[in-house]
Amino acid sequence: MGRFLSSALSAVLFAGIAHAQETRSRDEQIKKEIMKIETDKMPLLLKGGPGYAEYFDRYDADGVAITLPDGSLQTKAEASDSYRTGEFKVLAMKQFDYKINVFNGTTAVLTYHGIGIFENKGKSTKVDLIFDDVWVNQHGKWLRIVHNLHDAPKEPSSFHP
Amino acid sequence: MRVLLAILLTITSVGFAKAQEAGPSAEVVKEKIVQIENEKIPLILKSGEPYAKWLNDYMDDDLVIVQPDGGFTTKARSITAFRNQEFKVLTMKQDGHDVRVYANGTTAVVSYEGVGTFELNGKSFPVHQRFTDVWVKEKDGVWRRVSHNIHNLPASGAKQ
Repeated sequence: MGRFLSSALSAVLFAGIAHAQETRSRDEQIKKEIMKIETDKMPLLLKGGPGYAEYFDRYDADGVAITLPDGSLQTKAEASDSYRTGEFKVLAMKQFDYKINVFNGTTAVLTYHGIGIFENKGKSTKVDLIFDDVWVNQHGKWLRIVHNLHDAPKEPSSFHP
Repeated sequence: MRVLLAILLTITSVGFAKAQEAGPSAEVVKEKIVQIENEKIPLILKSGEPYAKWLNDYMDDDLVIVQPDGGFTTKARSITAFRNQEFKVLTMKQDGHDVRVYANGTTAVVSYEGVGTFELNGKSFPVHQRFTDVWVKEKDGVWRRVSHNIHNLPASGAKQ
């Protein structure tokens, strides 16, 4: 009886460990896939124009929720058009401090910090931004469903909802 | 002919993949998310332990919270702030919920606006904020918030 119980417990324990390892390994793979999309983005972002507009078209969900630092909303079509027409350009951009959390094997929340120079309608501005993107695996394809931008805190941030 | 059919199928599936989920099951998800959001409001107004419990139940442990100032905070920090009364929501009206459903009805993005009054460390101030939350239906069947993003809007209360 004791041996049977011990074997059953061991089986449950091993199954649990194996499942946890599988989940960890799957999440690591997802993080790599998201980071590859991000890395591939950088040269296109700096080139701007139709090349980057196509990136938006390919990876952003039609209903992607884009919120700019002032809280205003932007649609996928508006973002894509602003690049395509050359109205909005990224003259310089360094992105770092990437952090990714994976949920359920389908959804990834990616945050990062970006410092650079934007040009909007011919006027250039230095930017220091915090990005919060959410990616979802839909029908086998990674889609960005949320793209939030905030101005980075000027000093260490405390709890302030 | 087969090639044409294959191309058409590919184009259709690519288009479908980029859209949010639609149909009756997506509507059920939208209703569920709005229901959770609506149940939240009386608890927010109670603040303290009742809202701390709601946060504990409905926030994933790894929830990513971006505050209006661009700083990050955590589930644990938020719960503590409500539990020890450091932070209170004195008034709050939330509306304009727009829910989009993805990943076979297991992920939802909800955007809405809130107008109210907060109290932080004994000091009260008016707020007008835009929220973007992402909810995931986890393996145990419970919907949990995995991303909570807050932007300040102009204090007038007027929608942009």
